[in-house]
Amino acid sequence: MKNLLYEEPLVEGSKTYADVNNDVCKPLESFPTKLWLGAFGIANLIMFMGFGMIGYMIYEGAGMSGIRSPVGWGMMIITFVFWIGIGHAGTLISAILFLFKQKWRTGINRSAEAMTIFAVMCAGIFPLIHTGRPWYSAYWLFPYPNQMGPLWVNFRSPLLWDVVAVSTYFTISLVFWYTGLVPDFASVRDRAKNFFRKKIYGLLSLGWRGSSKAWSHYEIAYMILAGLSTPLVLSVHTIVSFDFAVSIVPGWHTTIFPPYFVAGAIFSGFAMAVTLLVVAREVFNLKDYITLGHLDAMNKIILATGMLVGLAYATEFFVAWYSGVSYERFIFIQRAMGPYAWSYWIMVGCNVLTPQFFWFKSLRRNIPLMFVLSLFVNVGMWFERFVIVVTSLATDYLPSSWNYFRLSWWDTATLIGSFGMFFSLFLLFCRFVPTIAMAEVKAVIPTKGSEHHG
Amino acid sequence: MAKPRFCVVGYYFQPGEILVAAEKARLRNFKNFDTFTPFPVHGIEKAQGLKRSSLPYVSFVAGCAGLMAAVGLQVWTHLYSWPMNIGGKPLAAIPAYVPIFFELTVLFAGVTTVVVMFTHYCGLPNFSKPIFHPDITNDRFALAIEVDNEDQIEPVKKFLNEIHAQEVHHVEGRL
Repeated sequence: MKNLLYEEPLVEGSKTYADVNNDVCKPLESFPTKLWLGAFGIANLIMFMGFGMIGYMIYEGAGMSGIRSPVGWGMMIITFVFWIGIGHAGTLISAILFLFKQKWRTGINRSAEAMTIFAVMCAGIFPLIHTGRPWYSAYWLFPYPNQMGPLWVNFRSPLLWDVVAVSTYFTISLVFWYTGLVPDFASVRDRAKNFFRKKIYGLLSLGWRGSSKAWSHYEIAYMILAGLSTPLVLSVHTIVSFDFAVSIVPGWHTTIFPPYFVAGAIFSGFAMAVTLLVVAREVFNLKDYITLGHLDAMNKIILATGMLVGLAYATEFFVAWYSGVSYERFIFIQRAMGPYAWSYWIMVGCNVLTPQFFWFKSLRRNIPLMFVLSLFVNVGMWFERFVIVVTSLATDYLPSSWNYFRLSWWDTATLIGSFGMFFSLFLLFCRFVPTIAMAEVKAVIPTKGSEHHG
Repeated sequence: MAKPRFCVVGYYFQPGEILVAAEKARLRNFKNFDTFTPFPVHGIEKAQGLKRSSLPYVSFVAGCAGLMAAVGLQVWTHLYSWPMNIGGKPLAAIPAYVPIFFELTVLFAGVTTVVVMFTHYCGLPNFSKPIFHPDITNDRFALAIEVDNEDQIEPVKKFLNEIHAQEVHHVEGRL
């Protein structure tokens, strides 16, 4: 009979502590491979193309984008929400799974947190350029004393809550990530042979020596940060959803938005994490640390959150009908059968149907399949935000002002450029930072002679 | 000039061994000793006799400061600095301020916790203290005992050998 109590090892290949350091630090200490250089070159080209597009838009004007009355929120807000959502998986893994003592998080938390930070950086660009005049943004977005009164920002506006939530989220994620990195930077420092490498990682490690007195405070700080990040990550997408829900636009003005957005964010974030980790474990030879068990667990979360998102789609429809509000009903019928029906069905297909494959264990452990499915989920989640933003605005209260929204070529190029930035940053991360939390992994691998107790 | 101090260091290769060694060092009542490990070893605080960190109180105070800052910023700007009537809503619209109350509380508490933990509690950044062995951040566990003068080095080395340290040496410097 199958042993139901059997637990898969979190790290395979019966590694010793020294093996962990050797395996994880290898990409940092060897010359970049042609594959890495090629990928980084392409990602960089795309990133600078994106920056060029932004510069062009600042020179030429916001009309470069496809936004036309009545659709005032176009690609930039869609992509902002998309990237913020991607970030959520990292914090879920690093904070919420930490509080639930899910030890499998140790293999993937470092790269997932890096993904969070880079995704929020990509997201941060879009509201700034969406203002059309980014040089005014600081004054519009942040409360700082100025010569006009001083005039202050409107703290009653969800858009401002969003600024504060996203900035806080970025700062806390960065601090959390760095805290986890300090002992690992010390490891890199102590094995460095090159003088400059030793100095640079020495500075980054703050002179960490692994003292137990320091560890005892460190662990408490880590716990507090996890405790703070848990409500924070839930608050961020909740507040992003307030940007929509606090308005009185049909299709947006619903109380389901906060949980629906948070579930969607975790869903898309885990899909992106699977996309990246499937590649990274192959290229950097980390299959013993990011095991099939890890990917299996992540695919289960994708399945669960995908079902939550599907439930939210259904609930929205039901409530639109049940509310008896004709505007609300009209918008939802438009979504499924109107001019944007194609985008609605891409969304449903990618987000509700694709995760269903993950009911089967063999499919959850099938690398090529999960890679393809995770790409579908990423596409689907971008389209979810497209559906929400565009359908509600394009067919507004006055039929005479209805308009069909199209992405302009500028929109498409800038959207692709943000992916270039994301992958450039992630590739740099893989080269210069230990991609696995070494100190945390060591704490979960069995010590010599204790293998038989399990 | 202060007298030179010395650290006598013994090495172990298993977390279980360092736990036992730390316990024995504590029972010998050394004035100043510490263990150095590649990862936090479960139970070492108890073995070594470390008190639970008072860091949570720092976080709490910082969180309160963040909350006060958020209240002050929003109420002061809207009520006194430049009152503005937006949609006939009350000037001090407390429910609308709640998201920023929460965010600034978390921001202040999180950043302060980490900064105070590294600077005040761990005494970092500090690049002058001796790194006893480069493998302490890899796979070695060290017990380091600080002694006041050269005469005490030998007895402490003997003690470390008695508690089964695999390697023993001493370095000049403070713990």
